[in-house]
Amino acid sequence: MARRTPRHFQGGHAMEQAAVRLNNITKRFGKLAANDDVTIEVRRGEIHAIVGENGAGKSTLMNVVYGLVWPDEGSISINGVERSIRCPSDAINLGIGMVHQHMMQVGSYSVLENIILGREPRTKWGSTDRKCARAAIAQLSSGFGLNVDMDQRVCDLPVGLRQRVEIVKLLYRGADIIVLDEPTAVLSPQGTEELLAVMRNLRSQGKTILFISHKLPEVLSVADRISVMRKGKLVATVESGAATEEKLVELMIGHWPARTSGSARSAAGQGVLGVEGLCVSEPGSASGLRNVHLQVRAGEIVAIAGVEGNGQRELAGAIIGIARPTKGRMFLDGQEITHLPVRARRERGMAFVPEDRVDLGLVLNATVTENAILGPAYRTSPVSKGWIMNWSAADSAARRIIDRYRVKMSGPARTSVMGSLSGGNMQKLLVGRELAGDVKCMVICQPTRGLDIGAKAGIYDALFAMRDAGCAILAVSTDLDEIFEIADRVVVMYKGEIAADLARADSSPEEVGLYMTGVRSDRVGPGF
Amino acid sequence: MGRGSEAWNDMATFIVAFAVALLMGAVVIAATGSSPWDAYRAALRAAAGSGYRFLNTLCNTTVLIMTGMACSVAFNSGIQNIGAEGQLYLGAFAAAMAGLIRGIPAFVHVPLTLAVAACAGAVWALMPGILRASRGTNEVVVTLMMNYIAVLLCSYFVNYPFRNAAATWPETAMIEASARLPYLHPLSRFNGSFFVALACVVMIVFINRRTRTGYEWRMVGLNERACTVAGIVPGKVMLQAMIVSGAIAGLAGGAEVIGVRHRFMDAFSPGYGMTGVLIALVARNNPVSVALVAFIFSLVKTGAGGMELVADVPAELSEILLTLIVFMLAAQRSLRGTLRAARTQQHAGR
Repeated sequence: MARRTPRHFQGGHAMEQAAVRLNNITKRFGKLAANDDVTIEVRRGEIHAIVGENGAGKSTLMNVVYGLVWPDEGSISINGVERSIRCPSDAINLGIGMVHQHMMQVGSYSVLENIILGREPRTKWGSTDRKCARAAIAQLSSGFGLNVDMDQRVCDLPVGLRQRVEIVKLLYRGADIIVLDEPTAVLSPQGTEELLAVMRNLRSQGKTILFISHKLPEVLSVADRISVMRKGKLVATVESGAATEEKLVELMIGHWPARTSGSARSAAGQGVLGVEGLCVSEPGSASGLRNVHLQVRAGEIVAIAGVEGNGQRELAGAIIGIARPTKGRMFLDGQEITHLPVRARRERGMAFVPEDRVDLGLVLNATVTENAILGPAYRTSPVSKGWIMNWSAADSAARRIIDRYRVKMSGPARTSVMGSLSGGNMQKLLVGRELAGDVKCMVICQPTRGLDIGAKAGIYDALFAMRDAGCAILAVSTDLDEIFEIADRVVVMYKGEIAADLARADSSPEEVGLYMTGVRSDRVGPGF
Repeated sequence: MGRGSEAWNDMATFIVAFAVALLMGAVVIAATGSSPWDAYRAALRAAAGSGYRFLNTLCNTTVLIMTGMACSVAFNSGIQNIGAEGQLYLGAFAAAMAGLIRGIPAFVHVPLTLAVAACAGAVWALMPGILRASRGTNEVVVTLMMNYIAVLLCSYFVNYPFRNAAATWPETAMIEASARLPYLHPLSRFNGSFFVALACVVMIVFINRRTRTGYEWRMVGLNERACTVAGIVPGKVMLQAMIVSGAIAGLAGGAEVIGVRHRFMDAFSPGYGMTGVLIALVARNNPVSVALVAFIFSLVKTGAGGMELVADVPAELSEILLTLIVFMLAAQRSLRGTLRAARTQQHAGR
């Protein structure tokens, strides 16, 4: 799987001096050691991947390199010289650049303006020398095969191109060491391939790249060496040629996770959720829904694939009742629900896990118990009888979710504030809450975003159990691996329309990728 | 509810803020040429130096507890009712009207007057509540403007149609004895309405902790959008809270009329409603804290009068002290907030 291009300065004195050397880095947050005595050497001109579960300490380590976090112990050497990096500008001056997961750009500025922001070349009159900047950037981007249109506004660009703009910006600032924090998390398969090509290209020009990823196939295909972290510690650094996916997973979590019954089933029952000709228009946004037809049967998991922002959010919102359709009808168990409020839909057996769990799913400043009963549960016995709440019943409801999904928290549910849990544990509680009642139809968006492998398996198990119990599940996900792990049918959305409706067994991630990016389209209409 | 320890923490913060404010106030007093020690001693004596003075302070606390409760109920569920002042005036005027009815026995008349006052306040809060719930109209603007309407409307009533011709100040006739709450001490105007205020506190504590409504108020106040997704209609919940809030503010006006003044007087409130906003903010909407903070505010205000008499320090100093307390609290909280934010950011960075 791993093949590599010969690097142009293999050997020689450059090899002795690591581009980045982290010596015994320890960083504690309270009692927890996010990094525990981590020593990593990144050779000059290599692509060095850092993999590990969520909370393994990868991001902290990268933030240490970039000066966003100060280590409690340990030291950093850049090109053989020990340096103290107190803030990002120290890092930039040392030739280190970082592309964050959430890119920090000025959307209304052009690509050119974003790249030179803060480092504008000046004419002798003191104004910005655009001509000079344009020439410099053109030279940089053609040299590295990074083609970007400098006059487009950044907010009009797709995510992949915005990443590219970030990389050009780093190069413009003279970065030799480039840190990428989960760059492929938001990309389609094709976009990922393009990014990997860019990374290889940068390497061949002598740049050093440090990147974090969850996706092992791409790590194996692009990285020279891979450092695996677990619970804040460095487990091993391996040559990628000598590594396999299985071995890496074993290093990451200590054992190979038991595969769940991920096989596609065709024995689905009656239609539970029906969507006919649904249109949603979002004021002020280009996306929306156009004439969407969809059916989810009992005992079936239908996954909605697509690059973010192609109408998935509107579809999910319309089904649960928080987005108002302009046209079309929706049915649950044969009964029309188009005009029912959210509560009535939930009481008829619908459940919903929004993708934005912090904003739409949970109340972060409330307690875990209070969050665990938000939804139909708090209106029904035993959590409330008439007007009166029974908090011990609420606590035991919370406890059931916590035990079943192994939600980790520091105190009792009654007093722990929701916001003090980690992202993965929040998601577990949210999914657990939504699956708790008598659910006929579940809409779940990004079911395992930000979860580690163990937690993912837990969520999948729960979904499969619900499916086998006859629940109709609609899962929206941008992660194709996930879709092909859980779905029985894959529906691809592109620009607010359904581009394809495929049986999982007859399809492949590559094919779905073509539909996701608009290369192919079936324009699925009524009649399925 | 797990908020107990937080409430104690808040109380500690408040005590520190109060102490610092007193110290800074001492500097101000010293700058005017008086002795801070004498001034504070005079203030303490005036506010709590003897039984009846202490009862006077409690009597002044009554309205503040209720306006503070009114605001905190609304704030707690995410609707910013700045209109306690207007609701207070209408409540007071309605109570005076009900109090003028003759021939009702006291055990009916008193609750009736209070109920009428609460209804008047609730009705006045209803309109901004409905506008907010159905149209999303900014309730701060509406309630604030309706304060002026209420105050001036009552002023018109009491200057023209309902004016007591025998009095020099624009005011209504004295209410019937059957509607009055008797003074409980010969030297003080302390009366049963204080216990009505305490009952409000107990009731709101009960609603917040034990009932579905309280749970809904809290959740909607903390995250409206998550509640929408969960099937709660935030507008309805806010409207409910607004009605209760207005009712308590109206009750405050009614208590003032039947307990203290026994008639409606034009411009009777020196800004009780706005002080209520301040109290709710300082107490962070915790009902018990509201009562304690209202007491301390009243202590400072009552004490300032004595300070003026004895130590020749202007009573306006009380305003300076209260402002300083609020500043100190804001400073401490923003400091704590910054620290917490820094900590969570580091956590998130992992």
